[in-house]
Amino acid sequence: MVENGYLALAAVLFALGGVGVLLRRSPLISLMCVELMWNAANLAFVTFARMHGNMDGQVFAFLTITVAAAEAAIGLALIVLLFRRREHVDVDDVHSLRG
Amino acid sequence: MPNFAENLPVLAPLLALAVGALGVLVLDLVLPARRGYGWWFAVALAGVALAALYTLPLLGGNRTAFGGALVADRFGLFFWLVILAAAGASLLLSLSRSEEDASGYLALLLWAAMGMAVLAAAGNLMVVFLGLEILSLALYVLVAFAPGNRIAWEAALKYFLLGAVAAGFLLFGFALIYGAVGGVGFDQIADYARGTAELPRIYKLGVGLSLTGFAFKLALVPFHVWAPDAYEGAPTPVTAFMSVGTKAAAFAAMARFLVAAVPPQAQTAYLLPLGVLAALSMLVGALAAIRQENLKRILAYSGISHAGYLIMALPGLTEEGLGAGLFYLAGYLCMNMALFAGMVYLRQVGEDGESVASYTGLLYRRPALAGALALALFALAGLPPTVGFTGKFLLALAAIRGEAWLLLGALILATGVSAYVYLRVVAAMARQPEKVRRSAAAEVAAAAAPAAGEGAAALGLPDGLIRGAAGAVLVLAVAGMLLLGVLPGRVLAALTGLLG
Repeated sequence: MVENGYLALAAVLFALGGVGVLLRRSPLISLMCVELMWNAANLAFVTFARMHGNMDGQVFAFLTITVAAAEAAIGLALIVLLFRRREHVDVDDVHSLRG
Repeated sequence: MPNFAENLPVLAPLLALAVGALGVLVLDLVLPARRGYGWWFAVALAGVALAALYTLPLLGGNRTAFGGALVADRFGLFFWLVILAAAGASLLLSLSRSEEDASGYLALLLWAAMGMAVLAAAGNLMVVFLGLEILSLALYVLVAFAPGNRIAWEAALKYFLLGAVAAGFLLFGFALIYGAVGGVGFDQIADYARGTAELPRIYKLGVGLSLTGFAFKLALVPFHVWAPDAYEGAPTPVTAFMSVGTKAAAFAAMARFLVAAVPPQAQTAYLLPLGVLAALSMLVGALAAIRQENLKRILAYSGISHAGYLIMALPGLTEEGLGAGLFYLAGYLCMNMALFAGMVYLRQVGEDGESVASYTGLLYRRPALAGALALALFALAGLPPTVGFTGKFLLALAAIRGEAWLLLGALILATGVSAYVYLRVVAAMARQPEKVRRSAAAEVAAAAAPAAGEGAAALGLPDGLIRGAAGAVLVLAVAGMLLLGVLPGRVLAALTGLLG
């Protein structure tokens, strides 16, 4: 069944995003990995919507895309706020706070 | 197609909050900040008050709106009242802000409250996600709302990245559940979970991933690392708001989700992992708080423990259990608001109010304030005759009924350890300050006072009003604590009745 392929792809994308957030040091790359995780969920939603033959999953995917745009805007704003006066961005520099 | 007007009563409180937020922003545009400053706060408070007024008539019965997408049953409405109370108290404590950007701050606070209300009344997975994101996006920005405060910005970025990952888990979990069920409504999920003999693996995986997302919002161990930083970095009124509001909303949504998604025949298997997280949260929260020197961080770790205590209401998913959870949340609202109001008041009179050391000898300088704060700390520690004791007692009863022995053991251990944490602050208040220390404290106060004065001179509200508001929040919170602690029977009966 062709849908299974899409689901496998969604799972792989989700895992890649999760690993990326954990391993990459740049907040920008982390943000991109998070987007990858969200979009993996979107792919799964759309695939399931096709399997079930109803629109709930497609509507959910639309909603997620909209929210992801707002989320990215806020994330980028925070990164700019924090690193405006520096030449590079690295999450290891975020250490004024104790764990 | 249902008539829009039929849905309006349920939507009205949410609209009141949203319109209040927009009203503040519009006022900022049409009136110069110097003249309009007091009005921003008035409009924001009016929005919250209006939302509460619209909520009260709904309490008469259970209703749904938009084809079941919003469920304004009495369970959800109770959370609305807790959230609105937290928002109102937090607005009153925010009166001390004196920056030009206060309009954005107030609008975000109201939107966060709206997101919490949406989350607490969600009737399907889409609305859960929407509510969670409205509240989170507003809070990410609010945590960073301290001009020039690098620590707050870093905390906000940390909170944002971890929150976004948690939302990813939640979303993927929802996708898998949708894949198994074929719909996103809680009623559809409940029918599916009860009507299917052998639930497929993707469904179980989906429920697990979703619970991970919820656990993050409740700050359960091991998804708690953001909480102490975000609590410390955020402006104090925001910390007060997020500590109670987020917890209440996430707890409501998680309880609804569990009631729908967990099949009754397999309750233990689904709830055991959550119980382990809750037990760990209680213990880690209590132990980590021992070493903290900042009261906000202590309250953050105490919040982690309390999230664990709240989970004790869930085993068995019975009405009595959930009623105990609601009762504890109402008590937690009072205890936390009292402490944060005390911190704001102390800051307003030129004291530090954040480090535990700055509380040394408070009992001799300000006996009434110290007494109120000590009462709140006793309540957090769970001593009678406060609501802390009654609430914990009811939660323990719920755990015994649900045969959750692990949780009960963790509760007892954690209560013992955390008593030391809270009583240490009380002991600091009661200690007679030495001469040298007093002069050092006076210097700090003298250094802080002109800084606060400068800000107030440019913009801001009269000093007496700010102190009065903080004092009023403190008095109301203490009254609530005692009332709930001394007369729990009537309140609890009403709360259990709410669930029926």
